[in-house]
Amino acid sequence: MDYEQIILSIIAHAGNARSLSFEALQLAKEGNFQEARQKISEAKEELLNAHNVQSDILHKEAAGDKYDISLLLIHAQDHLMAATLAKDLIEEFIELYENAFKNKKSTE
Amino acid sequence: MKILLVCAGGMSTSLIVEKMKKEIEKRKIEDIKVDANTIEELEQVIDDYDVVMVGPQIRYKEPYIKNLCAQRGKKYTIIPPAIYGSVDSTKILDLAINLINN
Repeated sequence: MDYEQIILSIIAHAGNARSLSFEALQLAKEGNFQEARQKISEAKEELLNAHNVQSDILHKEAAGDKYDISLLLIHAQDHLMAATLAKDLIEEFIELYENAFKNKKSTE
Repeated sequence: MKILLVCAGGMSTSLIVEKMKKEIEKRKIEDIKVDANTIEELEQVIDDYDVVMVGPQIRYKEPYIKNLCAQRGKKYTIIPPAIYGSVDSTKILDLAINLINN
């Protein structure tokens, strides 16, 4: 992978993770908690893929092989951070929705 | 033939657009235009294009894009992550041309 491919693949994996997380949120909103959790576990795998690519360049840098710090690389890290935060928060939201559904059922 | 690539900030798609322009030059295709923009601007600029190519990182906005494209009579596709991640401008260009022709 060349430098641009490394960056774009971080963005693609991170973006996938973010999309999967938002799909999970939508599913939870509709009461489909099992499917929502399935999406979250797929999102986790995509985040791991993005981290693996990132680790590669970190290892290379530690070994003395320095990359240029471009705006695009920073942008990729921004994507990864946004995706990680989305996944973490949405996991919490799923729990909240699940509790809300349970409470609604018990009062019915 | 006018192709628009959209993503969250229009930044990574700008890189792909530059590569696509080189590919277009290489293939000597005339009368083709490729631009990148942010999803926030899509509604304002969509009428100027024939086809919308969506970065996989904003796939979660597909319901909005689908609706907008249906209203304005435009075709769209989500670029597969593997092609996007490998910055494969050749495949992305083929994908856009096929979408317009079919």
